[in-house]
Amino acid sequence: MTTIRSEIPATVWQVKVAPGDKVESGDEIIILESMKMEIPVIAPSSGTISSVLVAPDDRVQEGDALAELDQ
Amino acid sequence: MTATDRPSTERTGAPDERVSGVSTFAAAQLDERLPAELLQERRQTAEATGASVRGQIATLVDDTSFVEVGTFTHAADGAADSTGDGRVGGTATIDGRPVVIAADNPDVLAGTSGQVGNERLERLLTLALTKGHPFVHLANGGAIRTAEAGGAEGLAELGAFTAFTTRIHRVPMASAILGDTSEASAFIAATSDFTVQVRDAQLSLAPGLAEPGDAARVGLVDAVVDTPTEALAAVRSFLSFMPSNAWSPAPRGPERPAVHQLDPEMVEMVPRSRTRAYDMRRVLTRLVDPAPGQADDSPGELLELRPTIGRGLVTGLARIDGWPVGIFASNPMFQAGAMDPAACEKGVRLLTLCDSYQIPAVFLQDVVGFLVGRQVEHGRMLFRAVRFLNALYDSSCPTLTVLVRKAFGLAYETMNGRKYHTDGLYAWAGAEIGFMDPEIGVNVLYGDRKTLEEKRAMVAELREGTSPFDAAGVMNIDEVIDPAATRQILARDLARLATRRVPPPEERTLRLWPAC
Repeated sequence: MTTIRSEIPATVWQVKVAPGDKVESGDEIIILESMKMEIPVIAPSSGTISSVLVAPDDRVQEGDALAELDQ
Repeated sequence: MTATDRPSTERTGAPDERVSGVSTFAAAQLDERLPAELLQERRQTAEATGASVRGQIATLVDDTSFVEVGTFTHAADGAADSTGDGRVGGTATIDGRPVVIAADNPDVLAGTSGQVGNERLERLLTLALTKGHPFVHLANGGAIRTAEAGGAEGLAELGAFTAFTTRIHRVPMASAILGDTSEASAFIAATSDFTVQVRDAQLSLAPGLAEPGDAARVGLVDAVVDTPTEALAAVRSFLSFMPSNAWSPAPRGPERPAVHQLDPEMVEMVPRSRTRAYDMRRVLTRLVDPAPGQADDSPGELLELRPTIGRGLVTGLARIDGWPVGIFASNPMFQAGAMDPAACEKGVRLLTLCDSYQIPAVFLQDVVGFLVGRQVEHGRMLFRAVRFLNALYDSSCPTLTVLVRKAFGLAYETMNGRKYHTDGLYAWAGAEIGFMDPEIGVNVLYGDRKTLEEKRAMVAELREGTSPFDAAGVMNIDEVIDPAATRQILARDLARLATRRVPPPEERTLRLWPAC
């Protein structure tokens, strides 16, 4: 299992996946917002989303877990 | 005694032992002078890759090319277990080119820095500087041996490592931090052009005062890797981009005929929406050459420098059609590509390297400006930004600039947007150029005093004035280009610039700038 973490302090803008969704490497799973920019969070590998740990408008810090991926 | 009155063997019938020893100067006789453990280690390192310092040197250099200088050294007090006085060093080749290597030896006197070891270090540095060989230091110790350094006399004799501060970029210098490192060896790391650190090693001025990871977090090292073997590979990679010395050109890597074809997918790497971030490193791996030996369609090789700090700017070394280049690229993934003080420091450090060794600097802009806020002001944003601009205008290496998306404000100039300095200034057709990002400008001017709709209309109107064709129409930029042609244009310019008059080292201002 891989934990997908935020690389930056930001606000969660959109969550594009739900637990059980299959994703391919490179798919956008969450979009963060910081400094008026939309920052896509990309699936690092293919697999199934096992949990989503954030919701829109949540504040996240650098290193916070956003979702978990089963390969 | 002169040669003529030396007793001849014919006359006495008894050969002088020392003279006959020369004629049969055999390894066996030499070996008698070497401590058994050193002999054993040397035999093992014929094919070694082990954790010993000689094993690490064998991993770093071309097979069997290492030749030790100072084999018979020992600590000043002549102690039996002090072979090499805590250091190992000599000459070797890497990718067929001569280098000078010095290393701390943690197995002897804990790799501490002593008088004879420092004599050896200075001897090796002098060889490197006067003959123009890159200098590589493998750090794993370096603390000053207090017993030897005691008193005024001792202190005066332990200063060899300060010679590193006067090397004025005559030869490239790389440090690998393979174990906990401080004092003398930390000095060498701080004056190096490239430092790579093994993740669980510490680097600090005073011994034991850092945790692993601290040095990377505050930007003391260029790269962090998991193992010593990876660190040694990073040193080889760094040197592959460098000339042997400031008087020689950097070696061209394999030519890449594919760069002369259009790359229609390049434009897809950058989102159409101006508020959508993307990772510039993905653009770079399409733009630059794969590692030598890799197929043309492999991802490009970027030796990124200090990736964990100043992340709004990516700096690194790469090749385009074989030509080594320094890369300065905004990364909108972090702070919308705005530069903070650490990003500016990174930029200055790489520019110093590029100017000193005449490596062309390639800038890719998607920059909204310098970061704004009290925190960065307290981080001396003003000085760091101006120093970056100062370094750029003092540099004599060729520079090329591509405006990929946004190009705004003083950051536009600092990222080499001024036509009088750059040797090629290109904009993708969709780029925006101006004093301030229209969205930021409208917010600064009107804040809450206009509705969202009104502000959107104003942004749209202001954006009309940021077209690259307007800039090109008055010769503020050289050309508006098709993104697909970016590689082709850069490769063509680099080939042209390779025939330029190269300024001699003494005309390169940044060679005198400190390495840290």
